[in-house]
Amino acid sequence: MLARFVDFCIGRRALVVTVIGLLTLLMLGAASRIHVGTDFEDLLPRHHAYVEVHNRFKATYGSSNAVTIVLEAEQGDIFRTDFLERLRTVTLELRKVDGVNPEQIISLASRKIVDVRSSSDGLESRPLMFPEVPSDAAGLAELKARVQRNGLVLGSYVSRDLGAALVTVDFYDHLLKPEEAFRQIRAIADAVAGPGVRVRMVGEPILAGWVAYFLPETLTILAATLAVLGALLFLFSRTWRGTLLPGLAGFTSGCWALGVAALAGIQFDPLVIVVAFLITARSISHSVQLVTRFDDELKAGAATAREAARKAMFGLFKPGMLGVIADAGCMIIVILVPIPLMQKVAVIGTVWVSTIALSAVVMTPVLLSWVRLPVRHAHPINLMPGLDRAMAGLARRVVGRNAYSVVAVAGVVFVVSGWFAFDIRIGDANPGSPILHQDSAYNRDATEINRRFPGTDRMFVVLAGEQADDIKRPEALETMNRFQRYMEAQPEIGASLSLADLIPVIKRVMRDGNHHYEEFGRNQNENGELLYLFSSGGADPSDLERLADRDFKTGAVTLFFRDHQGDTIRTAVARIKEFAAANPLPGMQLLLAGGFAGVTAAVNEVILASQIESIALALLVLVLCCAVTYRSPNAGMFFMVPVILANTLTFSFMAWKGIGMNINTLPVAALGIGLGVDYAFYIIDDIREELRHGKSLEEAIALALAGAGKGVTVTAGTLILAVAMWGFSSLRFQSEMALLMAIWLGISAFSALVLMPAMVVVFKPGFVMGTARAASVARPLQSIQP
Amino acid sequence: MSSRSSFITSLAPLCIIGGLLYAALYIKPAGGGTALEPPVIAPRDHFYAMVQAAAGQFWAVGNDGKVVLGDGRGRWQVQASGTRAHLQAVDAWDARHALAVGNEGTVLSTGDGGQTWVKVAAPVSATANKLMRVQALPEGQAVAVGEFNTVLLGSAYGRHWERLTPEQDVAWYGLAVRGSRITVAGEFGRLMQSDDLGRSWRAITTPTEAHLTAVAFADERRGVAVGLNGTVLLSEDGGRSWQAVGQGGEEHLYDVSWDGRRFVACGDRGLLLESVDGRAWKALDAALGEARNFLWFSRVVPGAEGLLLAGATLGVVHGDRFISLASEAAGTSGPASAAPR
Repeated sequence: MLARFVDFCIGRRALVVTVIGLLTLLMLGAASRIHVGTDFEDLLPRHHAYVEVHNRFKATYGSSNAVTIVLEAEQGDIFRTDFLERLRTVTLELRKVDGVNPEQIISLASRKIVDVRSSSDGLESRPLMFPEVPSDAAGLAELKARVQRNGLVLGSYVSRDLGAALVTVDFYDHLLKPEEAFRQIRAIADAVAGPGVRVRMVGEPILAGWVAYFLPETLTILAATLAVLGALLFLFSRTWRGTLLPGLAGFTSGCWALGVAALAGIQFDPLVIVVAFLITARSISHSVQLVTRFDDELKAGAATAREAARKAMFGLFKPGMLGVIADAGCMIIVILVPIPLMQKVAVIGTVWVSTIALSAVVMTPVLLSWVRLPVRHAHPINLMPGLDRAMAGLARRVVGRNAYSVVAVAGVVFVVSGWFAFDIRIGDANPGSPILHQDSAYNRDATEINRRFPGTDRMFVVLAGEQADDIKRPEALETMNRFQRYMEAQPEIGASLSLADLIPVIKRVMRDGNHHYEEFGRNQNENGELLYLFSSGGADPSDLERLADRDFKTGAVTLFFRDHQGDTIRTAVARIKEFAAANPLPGMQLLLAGGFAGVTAAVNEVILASQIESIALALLVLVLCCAVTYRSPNAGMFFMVPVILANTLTFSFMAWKGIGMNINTLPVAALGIGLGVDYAFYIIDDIREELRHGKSLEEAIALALAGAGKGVTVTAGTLILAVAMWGFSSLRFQSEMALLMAIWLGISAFSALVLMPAMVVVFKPGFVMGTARAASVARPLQSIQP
Repeated sequence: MSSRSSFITSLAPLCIIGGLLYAALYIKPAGGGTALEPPVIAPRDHFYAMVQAAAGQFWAVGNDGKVVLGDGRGRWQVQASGTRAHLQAVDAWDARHALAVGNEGTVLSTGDGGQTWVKVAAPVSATANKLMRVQALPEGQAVAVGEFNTVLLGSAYGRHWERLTPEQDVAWYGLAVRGSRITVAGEFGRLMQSDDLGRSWRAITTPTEAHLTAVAFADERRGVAVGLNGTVLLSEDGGRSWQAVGQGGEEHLYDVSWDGRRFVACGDRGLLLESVDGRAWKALDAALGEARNFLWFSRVVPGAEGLLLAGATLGVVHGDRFISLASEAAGTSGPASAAPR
């Protein structure tokens, strides 16, 4: 049947090429309309308890996309008219940014920052600096004095050293377009920055904006990578077909994958470009294998190009398809990760890998059949004799006693790397954003802001009562206060804010500003009166919204984090749970957790379990594929070795380099699971075929390395060199992922070239060696051998 | 390869996969050191009062029932008070015996240097019962004052209390006891005195309506009372009559003490004043610098090595230098840099 399929493809080659070509053109059309960008809601795990709390309360207690903008006075303090005017300009202009929630723009210059004073009829809440900036020295001194005495402003919106002012702005998630927001906010910042005033900003939309800002550079590097790739292929293969056909295979697969993604309405996250390249690399590898085999068949005496193409396609169809199916199977598993972005990546990746079956396994031999004989070389540099000698030397060295040493060393490497793999950090491993370099403008801004202010990464925890006014109960407020004290013991939590901070201030103001009266009301009614006085004194009801809902059934405690490293957030979450368990409050519940740090906690919680689960299920897919193909459960075990080794080595590399397992690295790690094995398929299949033809084990290994092994070396070498281009990326994430991929490809190639032959020598597995049992079931396959 | 080992190798992958799936279900990332020691002095702490009980032994009390014992060099340890009520005042007889009083009629007593603080029942009002001041007297006696006309006389190192005054709607904030003469000062400029340790009282009129927060005497005759909005009153007849004295500011004053050679008073915005005669006041806050703007002090009392200040932070004034006691690092440095919230 396989023979008939091969004959059909080669025989009706014009039809096959036309159909695939037309379909590819259609897909190219669709692919050109793909939307590149980050959808923030895609990053949150579905149905996670924290995410549900976040989504329920984010409109008032703060989304995960808040942006923090800080204006710094380069000399002296901020209490100068020109500086405050700039602060006011930023505060007002931010309203015009697309997707902004105008109720959530807060700064010294906004109406929401009020000073509570006592007046003849109760309380007066007067904006500190709204609508106008004081213009004379007396006004500025008065403002400065008021800021210094206001514990809810000093430290939070004006730095303690009075040298910087902070603006927070929040977005409606569904209206937010990070690139646009970034561009508009930068324009505002550039307009007010100038001599004496420096503007810094952080937040997820800003980060996404920077990533988008580097998109042209990313594409340039991608183009450079492809150029290097082509040049190297041309150098090695010395033929146009050896260069263009793998390129065409990669291009075709890319069109199909992006086309399907565009048709399915999936947008393409720029950070996933690395994954795309990883898959393209696979299709190029497959294609190179076919071209190499084609050349070998010609050398072995195939009469025509058609004949050589037919033999190459027939010989490599099984290991090729096995590689494709195993890769695709491992990739579709990722859909089980309950994060929409990962599911989309899984879909795109699976489609992409599957198309290799068409673009490389079918198209490459079909196109090869048109090659005109005799073969001429396109340039005189011939690296092949050297490569042949290297392969022959390798083949001599991996047999005999050395094989045992190789297996033993691999065993030791596995144990050691397996041990270090456990050091991998879940979540971000360093302060700042791991996507950008440590000395990037964004990370410098983040460091500086977090040094001056209590922390820009916010998490809110909700204290939920059962009926209106529950939050006004003294025991509820006291619980909040104790919770805040408990949480602030963690050094990375710079501050916290809740209704329990506001009520004592109102009471103090009511008692002539006497500090001895900075305390809660004695009962629910008194707390209610204090809040009523605050609201009726001129404060807008929405001013309380970031602390409690309108009927005071729930209240929020906002925690300010100085960093969002995995450990920081994990410790905080563990402590919140500890506190909740030790301090049950009848009729009330402490709900985790919203805001950026809250959803990050949710993501981190699903990542580890998902990753281990993905590895397990991917291995299961691999074992099943191998066991079915080779009719031997041992085959599954055999091919698991390079995959597990690649995983432990990669994990320990990530642990060593401090690359945390987070939403960005997860796709690469998850998709890499199955990708390490197809080199091994080609080598082992070659060895097996040669043994079948009556060669000795030594000869079979030598022939396999000379044939498939050469292809593996060429592709791995080419790809590793090409990937090095990403080292120039301004996005640290891409540099690191490229390095990770290079390591991955290197380990895979090493496993295939050295470890797998050595394992065959040491273990002599039945499915390779062709023992009676294996041979008997394999006979039907052999009977169709031409 | 024997059939047995073949069986084992074909089971091995399933075991590995099963193990990983098990791990995926049950392994959670480690919580990472949840047993964090809270800082001894937290940013949220306000200290309403401080006292030196003996050489190298200081007590400070504050909001949310916080009691700390320190060595005067910035090293503090938290003592379990057993209450969450704000503690407004503290006084000590000696290194072992001390009293702390505060909101909700709280009276805490210790006889073992604060290892254990015992909550003592005191005859306070059920309506309003915040206790604002306490003063230790010889022979284990003590006086405490507070809201709702509360003046309490304690005995046996504060284990037993009796009420000296009927419940009325007047809050007393200031207290000075000399011998058997008790002077208390309170809201709306009210002041009263007893010469027989509280058995009988006489009301005294003062020239102010402002709340009086503290009163102190230099000797039998000369006394000063301070209050909100910068109020300072001077008496030169043992407290029978008072006259308003200006001190040049309108910030709240929370405390006044006699340190043996001068009156010292403290208040909002880091206000720190001194006066030898109670009439001419001068600012003593040069040492605070910019920090004075967001500091406030509710207590200034003489200590062996300088003036002890409690409020938004803890500190000691040596000559014209303010040294923060709120952190060990600050214990060695000069001008105040400690930032309260």
